[in-house]
Amino acid sequence: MNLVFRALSDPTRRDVLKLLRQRPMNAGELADQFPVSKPTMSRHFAVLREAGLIESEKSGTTITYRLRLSVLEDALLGFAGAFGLGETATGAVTPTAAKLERPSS
Amino acid sequence: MTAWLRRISPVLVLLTVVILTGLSVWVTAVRPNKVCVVVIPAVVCIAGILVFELHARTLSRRVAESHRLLVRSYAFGGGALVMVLGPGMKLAVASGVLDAAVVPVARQIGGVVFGLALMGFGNFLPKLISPWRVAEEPFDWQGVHRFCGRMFMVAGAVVIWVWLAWPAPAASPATLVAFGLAALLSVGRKFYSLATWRGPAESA
Repeated sequence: MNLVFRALSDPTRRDVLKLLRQRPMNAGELADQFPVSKPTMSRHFAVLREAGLIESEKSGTTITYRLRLSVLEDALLGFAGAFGLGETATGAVTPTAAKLERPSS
Repeated sequence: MTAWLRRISPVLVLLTVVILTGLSVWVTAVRPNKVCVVVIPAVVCIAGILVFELHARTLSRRVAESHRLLVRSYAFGGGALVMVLGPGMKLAVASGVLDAAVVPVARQIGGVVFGLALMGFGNFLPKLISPWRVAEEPFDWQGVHRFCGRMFMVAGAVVIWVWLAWPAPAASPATLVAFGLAALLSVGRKFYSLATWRGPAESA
């Protein structure tokens, strides 16, 4: 359970889970959505995989990630997002979160 | 120990549990004894669930697979427990071990346990790994399981509330309705997904 809380405490990892809720995505697609380096994203993916919140599927050189949240973990994700767990004290929205909230045209 | 466990089919273990439980109930009927009536079926049940648990953990090469097997083991174990509780209770009352007044309380406990089992099953349902590769999934498998999971969680909560707040004669049909609705909605959601899913490539 500690692994799950640790994974959900980071806003970037929560944003990854929100993106994966729409559909499975490959590592490149996901990394493009975040203004962080690929090794950092890789570490985020590893933490999420270790917590059992996502699963990966390798096909050639592409790694596709898909969501594996239980109902309670899904609810925890909602709570963590609602209470802004791991966000700045000023309540600033992370660039990733802002990008997610932008309506897609 | 792990090598032979890997070769045992879960269905075979379930059959063994059912047969042994039947035998223990029969032995108890022949020679009514307080220890036999309560302990033997319970031991057989617990042993069955433990075997399933061991089986699931032994087979689990990956964490994802262990979740799938655990859900299956609890479903089989819970089923075996339900099968044992009914006849065990009737036998205990018939042989005078349990007072008939205890039966409603026992049924209430059984109802709450069933509700908890439904909630547990629903919670882990979205954790099941997909049997298909992402590109080959014939429908929104994950979405279906997330929906079904939530439905079974709600049904479980309703069943628990109903057995705690309502009398048994009203709680029994309410349990059936809650479970039936959850199952029907789940099946409906699956067919809806099958009919409308256009594949991961087009949904991107």
